[in-house]
Amino acid sequence: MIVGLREFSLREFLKKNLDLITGIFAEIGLTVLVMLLSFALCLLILIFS
Amino acid sequence: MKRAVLVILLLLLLAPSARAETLRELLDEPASYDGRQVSFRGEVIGVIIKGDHAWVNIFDNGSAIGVWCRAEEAREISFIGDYTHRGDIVAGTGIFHLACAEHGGDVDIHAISLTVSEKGHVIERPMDVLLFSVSALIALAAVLLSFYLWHLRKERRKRVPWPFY
Amino acid sequence: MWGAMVLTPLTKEDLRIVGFNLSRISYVTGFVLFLPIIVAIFFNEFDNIPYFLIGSAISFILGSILYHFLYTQAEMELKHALVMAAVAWLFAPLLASIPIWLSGSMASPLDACFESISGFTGTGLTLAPDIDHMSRSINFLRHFLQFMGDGIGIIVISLSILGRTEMSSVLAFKGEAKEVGIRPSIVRTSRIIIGIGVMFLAIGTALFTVAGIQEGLDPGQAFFDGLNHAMTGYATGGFTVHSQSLLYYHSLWVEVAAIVIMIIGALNFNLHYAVLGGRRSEILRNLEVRVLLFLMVAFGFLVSSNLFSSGLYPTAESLFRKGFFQVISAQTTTGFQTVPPVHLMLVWPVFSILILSLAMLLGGSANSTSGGIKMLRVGVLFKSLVNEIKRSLLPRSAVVVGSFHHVEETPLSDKIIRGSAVIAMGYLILFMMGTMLTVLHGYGLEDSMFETASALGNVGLSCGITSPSMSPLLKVTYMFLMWAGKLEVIAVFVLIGFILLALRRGIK
Repeated sequence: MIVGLREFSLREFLKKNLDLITGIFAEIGLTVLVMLLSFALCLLILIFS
Repeated sequence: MKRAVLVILLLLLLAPSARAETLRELLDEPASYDGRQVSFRGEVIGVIIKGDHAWVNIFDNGSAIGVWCRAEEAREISFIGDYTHRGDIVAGTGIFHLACAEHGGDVDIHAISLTVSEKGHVIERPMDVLLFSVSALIALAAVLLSFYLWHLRKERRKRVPWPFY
Repeated sequence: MWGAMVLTPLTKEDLRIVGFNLSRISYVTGFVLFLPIIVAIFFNEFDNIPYFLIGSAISFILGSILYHFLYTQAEMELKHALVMAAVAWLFAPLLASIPIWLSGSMASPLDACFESISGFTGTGLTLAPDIDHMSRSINFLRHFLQFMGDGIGIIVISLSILGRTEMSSVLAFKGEAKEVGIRPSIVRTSRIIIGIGVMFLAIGTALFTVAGIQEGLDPGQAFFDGLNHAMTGYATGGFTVHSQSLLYYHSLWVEVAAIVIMIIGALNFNLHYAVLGGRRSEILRNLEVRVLLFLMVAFGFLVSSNLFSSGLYPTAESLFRKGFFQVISAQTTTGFQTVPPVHLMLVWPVFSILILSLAMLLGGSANSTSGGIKMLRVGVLFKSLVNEIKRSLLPRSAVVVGSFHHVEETPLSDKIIRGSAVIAMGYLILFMMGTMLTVLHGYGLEDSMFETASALGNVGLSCGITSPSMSPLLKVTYMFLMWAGKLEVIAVFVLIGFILLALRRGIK
């Protein structure tokens, strides 16, 4: 029973951290998206001038 | 005839020599210097070696510019200016760019030559022992006073119920 | 006008409540001023240590005086909280200016106060004449003030460390313009805000350090600079370790790291909490994120096009690193700059300066470290404008009810619209006043608008107007604008009302 409890809390721990880590990547990913979009627009300005 | 030649030679020698433009002038009148050869002079406040080239950031009277030079020239620099150091004074000539296409639009100078004209030195900042001791004592006293007053308040609250004081 | 309203006169008790709660701010500032001593020891700047000790001592002594003589257990009401927030954001910077002034880094005590307020409010306009030769501990303090004052918030810190009864905490919190809502307990909310801040500080430091080392800096410098810039980047403050701002590094990767941390800092705390807690879809459904991204990209496009057509930056890389970078720095109200200030005034086309001014005024997300009118209000006002147009076009009997998505679906009520409109009005009034005062000092119109928007929106981009040789009146004006902008205007007006009330009716 004790082993079962330990297993349970470990999974919870990982899941909590997983949310945090994927959340961080999502936020950083958002900023990267903005940068890629911005750079693409810069290229567009150059092409259509 | 000889005198005329001498005078003309003298004029030719004097004409193209530019006095060192101050960094402030370069930044304040960028259009007039953009793409032209200028002389610069300033205290080194940063050196970033990048392969066989280097960025040397120089500072003079409130203005600062990055100079792109050869790495060997940068390695001649011994002191970089900060709180405890006066940086080497470097001088040289180079092409000033208002928006350098090679460097992502940065304001910079591509150095043709860069030499250390004045070596820097360490700036002594001795600790004032008296000031240190006095201020440490006052700070300690202040913190202890705060804790004491807080403790006093806690004790008083136990003895006399609010709002009778 | 005042007589028509039934306003309870001010009592001595009102002053006690405000004064007593200021003691906590004093204590926290005292602790904050101790930390740079560690940096001073590390860099052998022992001569600087007395400055921090003295500043800290004065903070603790003042705190003790306020605590002892004004002790009260009376509950804070909304008016007290707003006044306290307004006063705290002057009081704490004043205390923190002591070590800055003592160190001799600034030209005058007024300049030291300016620097301190610029630090606490997360603005980033600087009057330091020689940042490159500044001691590392004082320089650290500048950056640390932005992280503590704006990245986390001095009231948030005092709440989480010193605790307090729920009600007054809620009110003080609201005074600092942060909406309650992350967690039911205010102290827990404060701790979460601190946790998020510290986490992103670590991430930002790592990004900057890696970028710095990659570009050729030695690891120690990369870390020190990285830590400081992560602090001011997350706080969307804008102080930098060197006088050339980020231009010192001549590096695309340092600028990329800066953009990452700037945008993250400009996002709403509630959003962080939702996304980091697993609700990742929130990141694209949230009204503020949408408005923020749209404006950054749209303004960036406009500025870059304008810069390109002016012939200034002919390559895509330079358009990105100058055009888009400055726009992102402006919109997030950070203030990192990769163009010399004087060039914004002399070289950049006017249209771009105006777009930047607009971006700075509109600002970042509500409940974030950003300044400005804030995206939530901008989004609300824009949607209500659209609804008004709909109403005029549809038959009288039709009912137009809008809503917006901000963590949850919220109806667009008149109350919300009114709140947003009033604060936007307040910003605009202060913007006009600041611009006119700057113009009076002989500066051009668009430059005055730019610098005023920078101060009011707590941004920190400068076109060169802000300098040690600026007139004292203008310095005080910008200090007022930075302060008012940080408090989102309302708390400042309440304080003025408080003072007027005291003058008119006296204090019982």
